[in-house]
Amino acid sequence: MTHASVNSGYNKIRLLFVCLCLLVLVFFFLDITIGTISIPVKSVFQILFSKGTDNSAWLYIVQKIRLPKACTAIIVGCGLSVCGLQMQTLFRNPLADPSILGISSGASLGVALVMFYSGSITSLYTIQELGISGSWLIIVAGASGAAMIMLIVIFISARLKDNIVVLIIGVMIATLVTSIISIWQYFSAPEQIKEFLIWTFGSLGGVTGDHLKVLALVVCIGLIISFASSKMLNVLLLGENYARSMGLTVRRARFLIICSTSILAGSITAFCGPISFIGLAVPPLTRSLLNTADHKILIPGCCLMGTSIMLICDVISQITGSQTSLPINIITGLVGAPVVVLIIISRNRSRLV
Amino acid sequence: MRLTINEPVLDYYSEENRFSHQKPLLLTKNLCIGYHGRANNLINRVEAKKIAGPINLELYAGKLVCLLGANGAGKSTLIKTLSGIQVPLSGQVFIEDKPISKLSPQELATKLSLVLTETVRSWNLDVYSLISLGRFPYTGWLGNLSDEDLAIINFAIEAVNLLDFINRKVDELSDGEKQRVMLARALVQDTGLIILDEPTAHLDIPNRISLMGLLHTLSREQHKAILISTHELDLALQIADEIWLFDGNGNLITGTPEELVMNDHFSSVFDKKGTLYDKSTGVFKMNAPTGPVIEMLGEGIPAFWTRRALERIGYRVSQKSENQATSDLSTVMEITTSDVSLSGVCIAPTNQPEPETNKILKVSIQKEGGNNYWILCRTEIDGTVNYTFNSINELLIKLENSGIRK
Amino acid sequence: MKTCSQSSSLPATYNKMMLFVIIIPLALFLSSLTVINTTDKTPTDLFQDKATIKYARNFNIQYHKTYKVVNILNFKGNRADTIQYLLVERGTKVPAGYPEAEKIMIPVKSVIALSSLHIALLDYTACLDKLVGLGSFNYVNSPIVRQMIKAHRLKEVGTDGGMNNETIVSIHPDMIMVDANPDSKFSKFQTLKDAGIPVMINAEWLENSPLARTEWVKLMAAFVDKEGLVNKKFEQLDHHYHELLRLSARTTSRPTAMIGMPYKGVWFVPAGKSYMAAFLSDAGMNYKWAQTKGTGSLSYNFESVAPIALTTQLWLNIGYVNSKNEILDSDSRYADFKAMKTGNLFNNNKKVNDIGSNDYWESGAVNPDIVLQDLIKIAHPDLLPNYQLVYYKKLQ
Repeated sequence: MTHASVNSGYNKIRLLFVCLCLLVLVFFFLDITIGTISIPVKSVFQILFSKGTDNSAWLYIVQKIRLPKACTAIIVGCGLSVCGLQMQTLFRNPLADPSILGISSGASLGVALVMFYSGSITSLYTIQELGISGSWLIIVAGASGAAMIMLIVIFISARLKDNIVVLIIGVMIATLVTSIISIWQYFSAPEQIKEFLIWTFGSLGGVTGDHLKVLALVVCIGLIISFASSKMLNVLLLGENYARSMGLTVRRARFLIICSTSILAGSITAFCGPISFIGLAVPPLTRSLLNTADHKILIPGCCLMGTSIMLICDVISQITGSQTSLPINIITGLVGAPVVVLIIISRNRSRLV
Repeated sequence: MRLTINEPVLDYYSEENRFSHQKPLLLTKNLCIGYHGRANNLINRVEAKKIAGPINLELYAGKLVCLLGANGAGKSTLIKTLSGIQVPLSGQVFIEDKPISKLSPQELATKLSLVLTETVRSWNLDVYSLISLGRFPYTGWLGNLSDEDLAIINFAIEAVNLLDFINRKVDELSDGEKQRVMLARALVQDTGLIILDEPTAHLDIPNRISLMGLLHTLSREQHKAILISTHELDLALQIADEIWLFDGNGNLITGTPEELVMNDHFSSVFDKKGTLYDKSTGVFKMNAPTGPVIEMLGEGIPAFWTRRALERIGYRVSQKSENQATSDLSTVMEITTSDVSLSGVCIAPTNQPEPETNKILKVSIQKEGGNNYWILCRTEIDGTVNYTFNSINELLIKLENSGIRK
Repeated sequence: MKTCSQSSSLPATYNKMMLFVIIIPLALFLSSLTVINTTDKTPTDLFQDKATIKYARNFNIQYHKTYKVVNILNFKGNRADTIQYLLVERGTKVPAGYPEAEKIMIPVKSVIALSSLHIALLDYTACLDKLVGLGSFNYVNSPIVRQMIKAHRLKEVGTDGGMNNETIVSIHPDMIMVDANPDSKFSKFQTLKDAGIPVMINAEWLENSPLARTEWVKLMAAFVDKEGLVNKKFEQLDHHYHELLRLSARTTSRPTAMIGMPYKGVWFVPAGKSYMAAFLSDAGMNYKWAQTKGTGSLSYNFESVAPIALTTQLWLNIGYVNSKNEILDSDSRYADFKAMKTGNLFNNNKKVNDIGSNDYWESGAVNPDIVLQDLIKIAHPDLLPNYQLVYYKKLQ
């Protein structure tokens, strides 16, 4: 009967989910235990679960440095991979990633504006008058930039029937923004350029305390919207013509998807800088592992897979640097690029035509 | 729910059915279709172009309609307008009594489903999942399937005979199987009206036949109204209850297939230089022969194919239906050719030994007075000069060599 | 040939007179020649005051009679790359034998400065009147220069990527001073060199002690022939600095100190051999990274710095902040640092003027003794009870 074979497929997926959850837990503990300062595993467990340790430095490091960083890794892994999944489905392009609409370029624009034009310290003072100070300045700037681009993209997409055109426009926006940032860089002092360059390397470590709370909240909202769009995403797999004929209001679906994508990509970029390859590599990996195209299953699956990969990248970035840790973007690129290549090759081989 | 597995098949020809309680599922009033004008930029303006209209159509449940017409005549535009993708230039389309413009996509999806030409690249979807997507208009916000949904899905899978395929990935199927999957999805959408836009375009002949046959069965057994836009004239004439034919001048001619053929509508639309629609055989003839007329006496399969061969090499054949079968397989064929200028030519007998069995087609040419030459196919040998041909080819070659001018 | 002996037949008195007439002028002529020769052989030394370099290692000046040869060195591993300048006194001829050197006629009459440090150097040598152009009008503390700007006597030429070659060439100063690592490519300034404008590189921040760093004023002096003035001032400075050193040596406690403000988890701390580290140890402070190599700065991640920051008593040079809250705003985790808890936060931005330019980098560069005094006051307040901080301020 049709039911039985479908059910056995579900059982396999359930098993895989359990495995992925375990993997996430293992990597989480690895991430907290490994670092520049070697802290014995037993102490780590003590700090996490029981009273704590006498060594105040260790306490500080685990609680205030490693734990927030690992939590950030989880949030970023979930957010970016689900974002990439949606982009790949909406544009029916296996090489789409969160930056395709130019949202993260928008965030870069906002951050660049602050970094290059606050060279004169007085302007920094005046922004502080507005009540946004310190670290929030960069974040708000990034989020504003992303929001601005999102509005432009939504405006354009509401007027166009064709997804391909939206895609091209997103790419053009991203290129335009990059050019503007390059012009600013050209006229800036080396310190500012270096500061911006460091920002583009991405960093999980700067998100603490209040930042973490806000980021977690925003990403949760984005993930909820994404999950609610599962049905729409499923039917969009057949293409817009069929989706429309099956009752989907394509414009509304596009709007929702672009909204949730922008929230996820924009917020993560504003807090952590641009992090590449997670959104690109994780969805195909999840799709082939879980062997399904149902977004109800894929979205949680991507969350787990993205989290594991992000955590392991963070662990690697700490092992390789001795006194410093390598920027996270470099690691995700080094890990992500071979994965993408492998996926493309294996898909080609399995194609009969 | 409109599952009608065991309901009696309504008799199409009964007047009762046609005009009483049944309302058309699809109705158009003075519909004009075409491209809308738009201003390309400040300088250029594209004018609105009417392709066809005004058109008044009706489509009832249980009927299968084929939409035919030459390329560019407006088939695609009509399909898009009827399914709500394109806005008509003027006039209205009604789906189950409601104007299509007033229906939300969700509502429309419960009344009308589409199968398109394009083969969908479907990303790891397996057959079962794709088909179950058809329940989209009926499921909740997460898309969970109820028991009722599952029943319909199972039914559709059996109806299109895909039971063995449900766990396979759609990408691995052949084109024919893929289209069956898309059709099953349309069935699962459980609409009264199914519109198919050139569904057989990428398929090979056996698959085309099986798909069209399947549609024919479905319109009967499931009491669905099916509209197919196609180039398959042959198959369309066989299975359609009604034909809608674009004549190329913006008019849509409707009627039964036989009406359209007999009233020469078909010919007038499709006849071009070098092609001719032959009403007697129901096929298109290419390169109508212009040579001397051969009178052919006989019927059955050998007679049919011999005639085809003769026409291909340029003879015109006039077929008589007298039957003079003398043995089980052989057929009497009298072929006469009247070409005045060839009087006096005679094909000399060869020294070929005669085969023993009388299952072989024998052709003999006999000279008679006057201008008639008889090519007789007999099994007896009496005074006629007999030539034995084992195949039509030999006959043709002999005719070529005979010098009878074509 | 037979010599004619006819001459011996002339009367003796005539011969004697001839002798006098010929020999004496000849002798006089010859002696005058030697006089001329000795003046040529021993010309006047034009440079009465010479600068002697006591501390700085990255440059040296060789004095010749009418010209000076300046070498700016860069020690990178085993190699020493040198840029050579030939400073020729006006009116004298350019000596041969220095084909690679950049030729500059001294004393220079017009100078373009690209950073506020150069303004301080010019001020120290009392040559601010020679200034004709600045890199940016936003980085100026000297009131004299600000006056000059208001009187439109200076042109703004831009810095780094925005440096306007055309403006500089049209001004055509005798010299332009730039900040660069001598190791880096000189090609950025090729246009100026080709236009005949000498480019002088300042790499004082690579010296490994404050006095060495300040000693670059002597280099400036060489360009403007003010060695006498500078030598005097520097000696006073030297003297004062050593006094302070003796003062700070008297304490027994050496509080720990750390420097800098990180960005996105990366801390840039002065390396062990940098002049900043030397400042700290001169002031009687303990610097955790004093054992590291290098004269620039090192980068560390937060985790490496955290254990030290949790126990370090003093936190100095904290970026652009003006209050404790600003520090916490940038990262709330700093609240656990010992220096935050005890409030021992000192930032070097006390002398920031209304346009946002920090005098620590201008006059502070040539007053290392005052900076040292500030540091000693921070580390050991009891040693200087009546002293008020000049460049540093305690953050509230």
